Amino acid sequence: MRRWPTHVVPWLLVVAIGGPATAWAVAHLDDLRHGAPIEWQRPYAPLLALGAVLVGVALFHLRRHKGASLAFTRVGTLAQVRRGAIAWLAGLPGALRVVAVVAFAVALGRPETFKIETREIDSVDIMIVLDMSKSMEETDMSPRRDRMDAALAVVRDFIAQRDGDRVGLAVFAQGAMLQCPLTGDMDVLDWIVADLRIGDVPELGTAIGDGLGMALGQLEKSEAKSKVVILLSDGDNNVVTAFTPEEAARMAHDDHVKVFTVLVGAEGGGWGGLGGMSVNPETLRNIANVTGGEFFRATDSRRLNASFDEVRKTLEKTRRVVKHKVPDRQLFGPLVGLGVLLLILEQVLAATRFRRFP
Amino acid sequence: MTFVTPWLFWLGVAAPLAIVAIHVLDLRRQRVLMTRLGELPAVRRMMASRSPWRRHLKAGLVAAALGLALVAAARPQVRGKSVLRRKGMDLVIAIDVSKSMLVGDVEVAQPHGGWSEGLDPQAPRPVPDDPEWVRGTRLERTRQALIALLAELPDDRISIVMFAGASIHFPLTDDGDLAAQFAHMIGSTDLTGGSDLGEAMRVGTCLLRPEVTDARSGCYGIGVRGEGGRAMPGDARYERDQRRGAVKEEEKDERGKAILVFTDGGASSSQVAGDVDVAQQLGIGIYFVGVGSDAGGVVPELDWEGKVVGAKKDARGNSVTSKLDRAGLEALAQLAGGDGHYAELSPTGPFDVTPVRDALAQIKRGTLERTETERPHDVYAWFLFPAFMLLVIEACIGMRRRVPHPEGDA
Repeated sequence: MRRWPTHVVPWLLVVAIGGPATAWAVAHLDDLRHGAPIEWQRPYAPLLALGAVLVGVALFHLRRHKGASLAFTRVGTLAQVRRGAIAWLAGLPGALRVVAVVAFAVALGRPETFKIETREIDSVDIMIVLDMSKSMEETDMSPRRDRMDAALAVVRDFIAQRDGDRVGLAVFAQGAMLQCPLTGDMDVLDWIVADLRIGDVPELGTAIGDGLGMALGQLEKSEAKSKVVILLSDGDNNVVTAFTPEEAARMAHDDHVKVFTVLVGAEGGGWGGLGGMSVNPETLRNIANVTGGEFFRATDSRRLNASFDEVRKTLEKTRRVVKHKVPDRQLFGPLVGLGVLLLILEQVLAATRFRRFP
Repeated sequence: MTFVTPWLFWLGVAAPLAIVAIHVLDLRRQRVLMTRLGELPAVRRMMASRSPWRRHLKAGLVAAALGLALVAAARPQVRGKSVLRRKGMDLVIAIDVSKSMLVGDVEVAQPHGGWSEGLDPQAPRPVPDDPEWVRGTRLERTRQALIALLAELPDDRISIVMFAGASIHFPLTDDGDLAAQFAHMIGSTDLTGGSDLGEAMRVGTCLLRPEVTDARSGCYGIGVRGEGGRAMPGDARYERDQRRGAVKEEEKDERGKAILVFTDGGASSSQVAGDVDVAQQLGIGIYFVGVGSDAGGVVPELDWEGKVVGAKKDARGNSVTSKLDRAGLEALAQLAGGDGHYAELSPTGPFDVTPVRDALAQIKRGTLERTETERPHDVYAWFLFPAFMLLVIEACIGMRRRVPHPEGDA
């Protein structure tokens, strides 16, 4: 039973070397991360450290059986020779190897930190104002779409083209309702737009002025340098609660808000001359003229997008800061360095003072 | 391929040579030692099991491993697509807007009087050491706490559900400010009376798991993008919309989901327990935050414009009072998984949202967004992993050669 220390000593050496090495690595990584949390991109890779156990078993225990041997007859004499200090520490190179392998395994976990990178983007604040009155149910848009669906298609197309702008949405019929405040999250806005249905606001009536007024109220809160309204309607104003379309247009002009108007609906008496609900391009044309915007028809959403892009170029942009999380520091370096140093030390020791013979 | 620290790469090329040199010197020294033992051929025969080739092989493996490790340390990078994953969870925050939430038994921050009239994005946010605390409604305090909480959850996608007897929901958004504004858009007068926690659970479940809930579970249209203005085949948008659908599918992987309910209690029937159970089976964590005080207060009655017109009366004409229903909420929290699922918003003073944040920290954050960017991409594992394997293999190679009678013919 005098043999057990020789089994245990190498593992004690592993602990004796691995402990300080771990402490050093932890302290060093803590220094390097600058307060940012460490994220492990391959969280399961450090399990490879179990390979170190295999290495340890191979180096400390199997060597007894798998090592080369030297024939020697006077075993008795040899047994009387006391083990020297170096003999006790014979496992040292192996212990160094075990710790080096652990260091490599941990490094393979790909620890890294992230930083928040701020990027300035040019931004214009845009409120979309959408008519949801009963007359928008008229099916006079090709290909056999009702006006509402055509308008939503224009809006969704417009939203998808935005990059960096903040967009909000107000709807109106009998009254006006804010659907989405200004946001840079185009996905959520698209979601809200796709969910709109006639009847979400009481649909009997078309209060263009109120809808525009609500959008202006939202834009007033923003500090953007350029503010734009996109107004989609079939143009027949017949309800006034707070503002007439003319008053709202003048307010927009005074606030330096450009209003782009989009006529939704076929001009010229509706579907096949059956006398559908009329459209009134004049109201919309006026609003666009007063505010310095432009007038479009929903049939050419491509032209709307193209012209808006043209106009956007001339607008003064607000620099808005957006944040991105980007990789900052790779922390595997010190771990690999530690492993390499231990490995070199192992090789040098194994070739000199800790040489095994044969 | 480029190296961030090229000299380490060259060291990596040179190091194997050094190992070989050490090995050669070692062999020379061993020969000297052997001659001390006796005549060289005789000693060699005594050590018949010693395999010189294995010795060379082992040295070669270590040399290669060291070289590879040094090359890895030089930070090899390739230009190419590196995938950035933004991680977060999907969180539904359900806020009770029943009339009992209008009881003024708590304190709210009142900086410059800017808070009660809708949210002004420019207004100063409530700060913990703000001395101006005034009496306010539970709902207002909840909204202010929500802003403080959203600041702690910058990476997560939030959906706001406002509920009373019915509910109004908003889609999941990355924009925390927008979520806070959504919470200010709906008040008590917008919904029928009541405090239906089950409705909040059902809508939250629909929003978080649209792929397993359908019209039959009362989820018609909730959590699924509507059809309005959809692109038709042939439209310019059509293909892009199809693509977007595909990305969503991929994103769904293993992302944590949770429902956080701000409420002062309410009708907790067996129906609610069932809804909690369904949500849990769908892998949704449920957390409750109690709002209100133990003293309680009188519930106000509102007219259609939202103005307070006195106290709410019950059938006998007595004023209705309300206090925080701690026992009821704790019982629900037990159903939802234990004590950690209930937290309380203190009725007075600064908000402490850390218990809520810590509870939510247990939810697994999954990939919300993948962006591929052209940037140098570290590929050290290509070198470090082989180095690691070589070291393990090398250690397992013994030095003994297979010979029939190792020392027999000596």
